[in-house]
Amino acid sequence: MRLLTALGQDIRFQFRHGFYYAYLVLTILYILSLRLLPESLVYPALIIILFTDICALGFFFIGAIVLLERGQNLTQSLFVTPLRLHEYLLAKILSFLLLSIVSAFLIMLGGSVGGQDLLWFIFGAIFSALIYTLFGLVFAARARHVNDYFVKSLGIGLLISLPILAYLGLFDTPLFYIFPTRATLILLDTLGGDYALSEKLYSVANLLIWFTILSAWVYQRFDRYVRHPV
Amino acid sequence: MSGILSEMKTPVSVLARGDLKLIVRDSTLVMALFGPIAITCLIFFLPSIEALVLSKISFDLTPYRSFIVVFLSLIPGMLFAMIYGFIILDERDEDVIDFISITPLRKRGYLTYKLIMPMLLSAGFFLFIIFASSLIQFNPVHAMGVSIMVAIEAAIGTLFLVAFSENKVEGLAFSKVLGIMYLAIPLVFFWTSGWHWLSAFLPPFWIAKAFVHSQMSSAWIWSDLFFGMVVHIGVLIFFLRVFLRKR
Repeated sequence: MRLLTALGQDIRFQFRHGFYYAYLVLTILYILSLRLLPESLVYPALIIILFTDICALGFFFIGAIVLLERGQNLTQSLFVTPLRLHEYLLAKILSFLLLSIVSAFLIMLGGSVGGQDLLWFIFGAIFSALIYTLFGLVFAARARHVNDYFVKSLGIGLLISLPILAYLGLFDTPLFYIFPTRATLILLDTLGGDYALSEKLYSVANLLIWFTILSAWVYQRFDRYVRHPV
Repeated sequence: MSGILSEMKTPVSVLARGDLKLIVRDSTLVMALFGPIAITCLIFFLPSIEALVLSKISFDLTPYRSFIVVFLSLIPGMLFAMIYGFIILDERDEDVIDFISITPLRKRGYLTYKLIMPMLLSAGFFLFIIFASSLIQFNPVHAMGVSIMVAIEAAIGTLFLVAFSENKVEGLAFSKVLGIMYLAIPLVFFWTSGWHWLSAFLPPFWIAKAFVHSQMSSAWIWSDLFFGMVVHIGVLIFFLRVFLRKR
């Protein structure tokens, strides 16, 4: 119940700050671009849109939200209430998940893109959105201002996006299999491409492991720097 | 007498010294240069990237070279606009602007200073990218004209972020929308239909037009520079009014 209230509050906050309007405009533009592209480019374009923007939007926004809440000393008063830290964090990542899912769904509907194996695809999209927001939270816990957050998170953001080179066929190394983004790209690509069951199972396991590690890390950092700041 | 004069500090020098201290103490802003420098490197390696793409996935990028160079040469401007926009938003959230507005510098002086930095940086990066990489031939007189538009565009970006948003979170949502402005560049390059003129109200439209006409040695470049300047200054004044009207 507390989680639902926190979630509702986060969604309302995002709505009030124009996230939904911004993504409405972007979604419409993405749909138009997909419709204008030649048939052979629609799938790759959709995957790149989902990978670089729609699934990653939590990574982009979470820093400023946590900074604003910290700047207004909101977090300190928040943790005096019965709200648990894990509920606070879950509400953050789930609210971004909702925005990601709604725009991804609308883009695919508007661009009339679908495919077989939707279950793998949906799992990939959901878990990459969760993982991206968690990555953002790791840096948001200690950032001092927005530019600080971006500079710190940008390097990691670029680094973990490297497997896109393998997706584009430019460069590949077995090391990429450690990256969560490799798994994301495989699961998103099941929409159009054929992958062996072992590869899909590897991707699911990879994302679950990353999700667990990052959740624990984020919890520990927030506990130390946001809930009990020195 | 001269001693007294040199001891007198102008508001701008105090502000600049404050920013310099901030930059030295806080490595963030030095690291913020990373984005624009990465883009510059990308342009310098463009011929190798084209060769790699051709050999790996047999796709020839060379016909798109001028589009890629124009597009990438404007990205540092957008990044500087965002960096300074977020500095202003952070300072507004922390009420720094309210304190400065009662000093002799006033809000206008503060804003002028915060806008001139992204303007100089983005025009500098633009000219550097175009002439140091020499990937495309660009008439220096035309380039100077375009670089003025690039500078104004950075101020437009910064003002866009701060004029409409209440805090940094909204500023971030607006920065997503800011990116849409650059959609005008692919429209000019690839949309052969006359409908692409619909995007003429977007400032980058005129930069792309000027590039295309300068490459073709067409006399239309002068009208692009003229109307481009009119559009840029018009948009700038509009955003400036919105920002100054805001409390």
